[in-house]
Amino acid sequence: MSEQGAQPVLELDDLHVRFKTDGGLVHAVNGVSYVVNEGEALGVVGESGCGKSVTNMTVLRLIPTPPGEVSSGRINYRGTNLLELSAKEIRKVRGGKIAMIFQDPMTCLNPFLRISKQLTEAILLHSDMTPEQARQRAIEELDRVGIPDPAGRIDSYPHEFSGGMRQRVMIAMALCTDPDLLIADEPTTALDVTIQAQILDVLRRLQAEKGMSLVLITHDLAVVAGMCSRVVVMYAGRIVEEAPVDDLFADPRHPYTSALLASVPRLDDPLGRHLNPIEGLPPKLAEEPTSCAFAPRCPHAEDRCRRELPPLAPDADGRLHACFFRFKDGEKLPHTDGGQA
Amino acid sequence: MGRYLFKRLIQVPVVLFVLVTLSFFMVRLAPGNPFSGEKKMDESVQQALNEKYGLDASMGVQYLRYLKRLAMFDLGPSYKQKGLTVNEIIADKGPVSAVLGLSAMIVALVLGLTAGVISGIRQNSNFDYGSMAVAMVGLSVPTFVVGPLLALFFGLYLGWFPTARYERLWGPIPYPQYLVLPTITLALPFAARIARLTRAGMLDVINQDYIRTAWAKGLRERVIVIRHAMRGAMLPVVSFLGPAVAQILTGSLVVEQIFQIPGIGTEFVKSALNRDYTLVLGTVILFGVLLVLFNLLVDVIYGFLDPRIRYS
Amino acid sequence: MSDATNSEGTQEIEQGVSLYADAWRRLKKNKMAMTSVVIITVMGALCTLAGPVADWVGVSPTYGFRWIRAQAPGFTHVDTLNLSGLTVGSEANVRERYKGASEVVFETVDREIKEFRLTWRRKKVKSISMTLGAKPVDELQIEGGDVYWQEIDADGKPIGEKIFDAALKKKDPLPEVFGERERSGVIVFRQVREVPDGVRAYTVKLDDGQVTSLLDNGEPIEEIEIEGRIVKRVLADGVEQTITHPLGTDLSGRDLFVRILYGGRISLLVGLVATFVSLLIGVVYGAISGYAGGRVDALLMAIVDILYGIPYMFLVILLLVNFGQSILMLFFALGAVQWLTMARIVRGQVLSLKQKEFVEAARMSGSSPASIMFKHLIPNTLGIVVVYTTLTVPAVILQESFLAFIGLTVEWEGQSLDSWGALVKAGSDAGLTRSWLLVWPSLAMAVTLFGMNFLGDGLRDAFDPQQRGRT
Repeated sequence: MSEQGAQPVLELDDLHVRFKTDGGLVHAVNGVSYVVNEGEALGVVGESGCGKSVTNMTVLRLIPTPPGEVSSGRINYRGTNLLELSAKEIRKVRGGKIAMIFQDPMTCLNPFLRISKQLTEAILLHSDMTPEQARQRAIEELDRVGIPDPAGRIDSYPHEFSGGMRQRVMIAMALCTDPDLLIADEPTTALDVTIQAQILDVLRRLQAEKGMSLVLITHDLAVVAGMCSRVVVMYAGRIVEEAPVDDLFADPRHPYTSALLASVPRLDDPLGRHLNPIEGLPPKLAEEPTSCAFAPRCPHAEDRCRRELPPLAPDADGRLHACFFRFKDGEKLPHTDGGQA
Repeated sequence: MGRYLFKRLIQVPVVLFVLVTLSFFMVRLAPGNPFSGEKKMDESVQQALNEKYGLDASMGVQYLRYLKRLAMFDLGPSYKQKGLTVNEIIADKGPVSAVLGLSAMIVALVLGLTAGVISGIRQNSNFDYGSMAVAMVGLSVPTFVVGPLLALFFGLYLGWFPTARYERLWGPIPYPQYLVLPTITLALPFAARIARLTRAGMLDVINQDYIRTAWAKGLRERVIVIRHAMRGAMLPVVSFLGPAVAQILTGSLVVEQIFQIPGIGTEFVKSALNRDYTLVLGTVILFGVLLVLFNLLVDVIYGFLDPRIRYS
Repeated sequence: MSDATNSEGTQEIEQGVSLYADAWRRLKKNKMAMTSVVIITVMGALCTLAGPVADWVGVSPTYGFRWIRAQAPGFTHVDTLNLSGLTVGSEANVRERYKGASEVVFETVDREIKEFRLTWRRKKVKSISMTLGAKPVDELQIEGGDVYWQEIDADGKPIGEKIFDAALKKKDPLPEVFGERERSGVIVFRQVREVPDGVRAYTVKLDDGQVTSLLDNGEPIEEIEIEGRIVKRVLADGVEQTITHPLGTDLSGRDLFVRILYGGRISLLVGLVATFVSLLIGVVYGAISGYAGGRVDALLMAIVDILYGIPYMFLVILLLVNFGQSILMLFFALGAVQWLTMARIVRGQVLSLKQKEFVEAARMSGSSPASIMFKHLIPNTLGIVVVYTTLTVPAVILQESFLAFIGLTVEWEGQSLDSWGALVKAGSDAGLTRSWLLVWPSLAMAVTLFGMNFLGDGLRDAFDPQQRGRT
């Protein structure tokens, strides 16, 4: 839902991405559309292989195009289609207007270069500062992410930092150019739970301070609950549900979303209660889905689900989900297009 | 870094000692003696010669004497090249080989690194297949086939370069045209290996996460390759340089013979087949020292390149 | 959407594939590697079948048709045979290819030999005389065609054979056909002529390799003695027999193709055995070092590091020069060069495997270190060992050929066994005019090594696809 009048920062429109592999074509992204508004934090949730990373890497055109290709769709950054930019133009966007951080801080920093170099090269690339100014800016940013004694440590090498510190450095590196939008791909997955909380704090604080938009990709629902205002759930390269975060947790309307929520063990569960995994495995995506991709694993699937593709359609209150039915208080109701609840 | 270097440094004298001992006994324990091949001579003359060269003492004593001399950098007189000491021969012929070896090393590095880097970043392109095929040929065809072929084609047929002479310009350095064909011949297998190693290293590095980070920052390909990728890609090459020098030394034996270059390599072969003990030992020790020092240098460079070692 | 669904709504799990089957599948896709396998197999087969091939060509590897010297590929000539000593009732001591025939006919021609001595001084002919007494003559006309002359060396053996025309006249300059000579000298040469009427056809009737009857121009005789006769044609059961040398001959008239195959045997044998030696030492050493860890590992690896610093080839050369060039010595010496690398690799692999859980599990269940090593660690290092073995063999072959080039060829009971390296050396000595002697052995070696290197590469990629950088 975009607010009337304000242009969204990022808008994905019916994106299709596929890969040519030895084993044939893989349709990784099949018609994904969503919007990120100014200052908003959007969560993108899904299992491994659902296409969330590919979708977001495509924004910055980081997918190598020999095996990968965007077969259709648009990605609009403040009205400009990023997919149509020249190589030179997209390089200006990368790191400058839209920044991205990745999962494993142990491997994402170049072990052979000092972090001063790794930070200042980004700053110098996207601004007119002198090297001394850039260095100052880098030190400021390190301070802002919470690295103690930034001036003293800026000339260190990555291996001299711990995992949590490295992720902070990564964040500093991404944000030292003051981008409009930060895409964070599983930023805390490789970290301990306690460090996770710290990193999320840093992200939240910086987002607020800079008025930046954030796309947070994760498979961990807990992370989303604490950070995002809206959530998009992906499965088999498509979006299956989109809603404000509290609404999603309180009232999941797609069977996959409810299954996901149910599968997370809670601290207040009684001892001895069995876990609820979702039976089966995600599909292989050798073809574009022509029927509901979740049907094989869905406890409520019917014939129609196996023959037709349910569209991502809005409910009366504007929430979107892709299923022929919707579930309310355990009851299975038809999902009428744009109609009554 | 300190501890790393220290470990390496300690090995130097041990290696040299092992080398000297092995070579000494291998040469001496063989049947025959340096003078047995020559015209028959009287007992007394033989005796006098043995005394003069100290061959009458027991093997152990000879060994110790040799070590003592060695400690003072005296490699003894040559048995077959009368009137010359080994030191003199080495001083005369050594630098020539050094010039050849160094040039070959440089050529191999330049060619190999360039080809390897480009092949690595353009994997499966025509250039990649082409250069890797050439590299494979360079590895499969022995030096002593390439040498004569080059001499034949560029030397005799096209007449661009001289093939069987050697004229010095300044010190050991010859006029450039004498160096071209031998250098290329010697450098070819190394260029091939370096290209393959660089390519493999580059492929490895290219797929690392930190390269993806560099792309995400908006850097251009050239910057990413040179500033970010090269360091990591070069590491296997640097490791290879150690054994590479050993192979260049061995290769020089053949190249010098083919192109009639008056270097240490030819001296070694000659003296080995002639049983000129002192010269053989002298040259082997020389090669050993060079190799050990070079390995040490390589280790130091490696330590510098990889900050994980430098600062641990 | 192609996953099968069974009645419980779950999906089939994909069939698990073993490591080797997976690697094999990947290898098959690599066209260059599969081509290499074919090349290597063909070369290996040819070399093993060197004997039958030699028989098919009609030669043996050590027998040289000295009188034909070095000839270009495709040269065909009459088979010269030792016809003396064929008697009725005995076993025919002729080549294999004739033993199966029932009738062999040799057409021979008488030879007339005159021996001359030619002296020249200051490049001008001084005297021409016949060696067996007789007065010197002032001039001598030598005609080509079926007249040829052989130069005789100091021991009375013919060295070389040429067909040419020359007019020798006293006081005239030495004709060019004699080639480069010193200013003054003496040569003795033979003028060999076929006596046109001296044609004789010897017929040998054979039955299962036994001589049943001998005929001389149709007349039965008891025994064939051929002295001073030239064999012009050989017919076996009416079919003319010649020998064609597919790749030409070397300076001693030995067939090059057959020599290459026999040479290949040596090179490949040395390559394989020396590699095997290095494998044995290296794998065991590396496995022990890696598994033992701690001080033992540090010590063993320190030894390896030290030995690594020695320029091995020099020691090998010294070894061979001083202790003989037998093939066993070569196996050992070259194997000793390579084991270090193998040991390092195996140790590295074992070290990383040691950390893996299945080793913990094995230890927990009480297996002894030896059984862990043999049942778990070594099989898992097999992949990388195979790769490096395939790459070591060509390296060893190159080293052996290098030694041959310096002059340290493989010897067996005093005789030099010519490997590819020795053939290449002979070829490069033979020069431009006889380029086939260099080209074909080099090609055989290069193609084989090329194939092995490609195969090794292919195996490496097949066992560890991440290294290739493919998604």
